Amino acid sequence: MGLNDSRRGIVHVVGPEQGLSLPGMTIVCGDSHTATHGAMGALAFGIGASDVSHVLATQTLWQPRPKSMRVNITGRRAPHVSAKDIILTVIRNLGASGGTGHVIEYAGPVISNLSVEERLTVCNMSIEAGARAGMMAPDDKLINWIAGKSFAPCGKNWDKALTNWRVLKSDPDAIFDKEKTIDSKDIIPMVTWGTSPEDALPINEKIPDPNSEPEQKKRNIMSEKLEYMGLKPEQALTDIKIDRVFIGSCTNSRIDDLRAAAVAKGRRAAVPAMVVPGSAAVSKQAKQEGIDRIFINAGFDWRPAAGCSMCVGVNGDVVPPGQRCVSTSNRNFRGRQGPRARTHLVGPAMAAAAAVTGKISDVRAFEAR
Amino acid sequence: MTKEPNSLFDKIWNQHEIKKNTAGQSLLFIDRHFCHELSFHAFNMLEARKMRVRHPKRTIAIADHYTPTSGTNKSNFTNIAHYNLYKNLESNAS
Repeated sequence: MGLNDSRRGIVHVVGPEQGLSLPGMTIVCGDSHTATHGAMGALAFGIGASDVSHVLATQTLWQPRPKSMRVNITGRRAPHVSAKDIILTVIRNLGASGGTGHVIEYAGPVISNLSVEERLTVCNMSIEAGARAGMMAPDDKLINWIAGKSFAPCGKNWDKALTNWRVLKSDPDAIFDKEKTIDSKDIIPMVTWGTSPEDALPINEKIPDPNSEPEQKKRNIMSEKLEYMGLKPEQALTDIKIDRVFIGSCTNSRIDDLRAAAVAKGRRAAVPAMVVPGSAAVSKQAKQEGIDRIFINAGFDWRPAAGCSMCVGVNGDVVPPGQRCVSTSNRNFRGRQGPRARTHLVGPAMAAAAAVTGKISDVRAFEAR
Repeated sequence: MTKEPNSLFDKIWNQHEIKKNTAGQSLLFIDRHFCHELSFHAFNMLEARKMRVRHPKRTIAIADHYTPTSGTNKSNFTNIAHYNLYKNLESNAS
């Protein structure tokens, strides 16, 4: 899909959006966040360059069989809690290597109640818990979402596909190598403070104190992170002033994410805030709904063309050295968004809140305008 | 044979497993392959071995990492190397 193709955008947004990623498929890409497509009930994972050439040449791939993990999210999520907050909580819970060697299946009532776009956000960050892939079983909500998409099957092929898709779920007595249950009642909006997605905290907490860490090695690592990020122990998260905001990336750039970030309506950006839609189709729909005007009127920088942009900063959209950026992307590694850039990962509404206050903020305190 | 009962992951893996090697790895059929600009390494490898893409229709190429967000014209690229990466993907895809 060329630059002027009306269907183009970030690969992991376009695939599901256009019906190219479907239940039961094996899907690969030379990119870390390929797990996103797992929300379609597919087995999707990132691969390296030599694997890419193997797939191009043979349409097959040699892989060791991963182990399986089920993460059950129970209870009911509270208002203003986004899918991003859920996955950040999961990653914090499992740790950056908790899922290593495993494929995670997300299950439970909270997952079933997520919209399809929210499920894409959750699966997207599976690798940040070390997992090979993340997936969810197809259900009626997903099937209705897929129906009619450009590359989705139709006619007799649709009926045939449905027969296959309806049995794509774990058997009741399926055995997983690991199981984890997380109660969503305590999940509130989250923000990362360090240089790994596992360094996430609820918004009402404070920067951790390395001295409270019993192991010397971990204390040192924590101190180094705080130094890089320019943060002090016991600092309230909501006291941290920021330099800019990025709303975009394959994690959070779909229409639902932009709608959530439209909490900026009637307010003004206090810092430079860039909004990059995930695809040409998302951009078009945002314009139809007037969401682009909401951002423009609030002084945000609404970008006309979709792409990975400031998530990885290789296209020129970078965070200047030393600046602190609140971002809806998926990685807060040192230098990810630019040399010496400091990244705080949040959900889209939280990002918009930070943009209009100029500091990390609790979006639950915002009223709609 | 596979153990019963199966998880969602088991079902998809089993349906796509062509065979196993002596190291215990599975050869999986890949239904969909997405390529972005950095796939040029892989395309170069194919060209060096005079090989063609096996299933072009299952392969989708979209530039997203190096593309400008200011617009979709050549003039929007501020770095010629990024534009060349895009053109390279376009030519590999055709």
